[in-house]
Amino acid sequence: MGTLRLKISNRSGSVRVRAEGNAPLQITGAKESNAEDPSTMRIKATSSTIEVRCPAHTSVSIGTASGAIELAGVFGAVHVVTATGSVRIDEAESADVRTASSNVKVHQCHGHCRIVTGNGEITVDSAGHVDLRSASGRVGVRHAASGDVRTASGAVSVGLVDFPAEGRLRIETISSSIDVSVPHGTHPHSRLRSMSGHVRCDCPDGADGSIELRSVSGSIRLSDG
Amino acid sequence: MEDFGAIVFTDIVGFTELTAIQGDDVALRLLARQDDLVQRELPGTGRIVKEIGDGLLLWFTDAGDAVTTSLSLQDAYEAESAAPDGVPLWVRIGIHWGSPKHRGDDIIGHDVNLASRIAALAGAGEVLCSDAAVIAAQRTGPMPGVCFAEIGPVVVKGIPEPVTVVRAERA
Repeated sequence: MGTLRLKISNRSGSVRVRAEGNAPLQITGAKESNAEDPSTMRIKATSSTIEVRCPAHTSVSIGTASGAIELAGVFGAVHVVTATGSVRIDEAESADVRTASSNVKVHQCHGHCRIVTGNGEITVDSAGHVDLRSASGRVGVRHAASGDVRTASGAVSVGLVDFPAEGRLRIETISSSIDVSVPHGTHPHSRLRSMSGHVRCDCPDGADGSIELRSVSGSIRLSDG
Repeated sequence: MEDFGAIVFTDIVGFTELTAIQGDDVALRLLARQDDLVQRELPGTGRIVKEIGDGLLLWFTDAGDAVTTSLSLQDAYEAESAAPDGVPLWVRIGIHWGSPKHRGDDIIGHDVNLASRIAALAGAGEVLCSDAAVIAAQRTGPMPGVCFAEIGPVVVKGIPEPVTVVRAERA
């Protein structure tokens, strides 16, 4: 049997999943749960809170309309689609989260971290690669080896705690500001352009990775440390 | 006999902000450019049903054509946006395979609403499909040059079972 995969849907209740060690699968609050195949369990509720305990590195796919979603522990691939429920993920191999208006917080994602939101706020502490899309929600990233960020009117703030020489970061906005800081002494190759916003760069140009920041009217700032 | 086909919604992300900043003339030029690109990429199996604000509703009799055309459109939009003086043409696209009711040239019904919901889940530059659209697109085998990745169950108002939604991208 391969890695366990959970497919969880809940119309209006919240979903809490804890993945740790070799914990046996325990499910509470579900209306029905059944094995789709030897490695996939389908779990469904309509309004109650679903609580699941599962082994570490379990992959989960969750769909809700309005309930909060909390993933505590260490997960494999994580997929979440929700309209308004807030999303919090401790640690995952990869993540794909889509919301209309929820706030999304990812603590650690080792691989690809894709988040799409309307007006929810996005916070990523650490990820291998971020791919973030927001209409009007603010975006904050603390560490990523590479990334692609687009917002229409949500301000973007990226405070990189380290940035590898092969790192690549591209951020584009329409009206919102972009503020990126790189570790002290890092000299990325940078291309900054705002059609009508103020542009300020405190970093000497170099070859420590590549940073491209573009906006139609938002201000842009790239700073050292 | 029911008339099955692929329903495609497109929507420009940030159009309101862009119009507010750049003005109505730039907005009109952007819509005209979108029209040009769609007319250029549209195969014989597809047609524009109508414009909805800054978005489009398209109808294809072939689901595979709907997917490949949507991916080609995203390539064209990205190239347009990446130009040095380019104004962002960020578009999200959603595809569903179903049998809507026809009202003149228009199409209406539950399947049209679902395609709209799927488009709303897409990020700028993405193409998302229902699993029904993927099955229809691959009925004669895998599509060369295209891969699909499931993004998870989607709870949709009015539908008892969650809908599986899939991301289409170049292989």
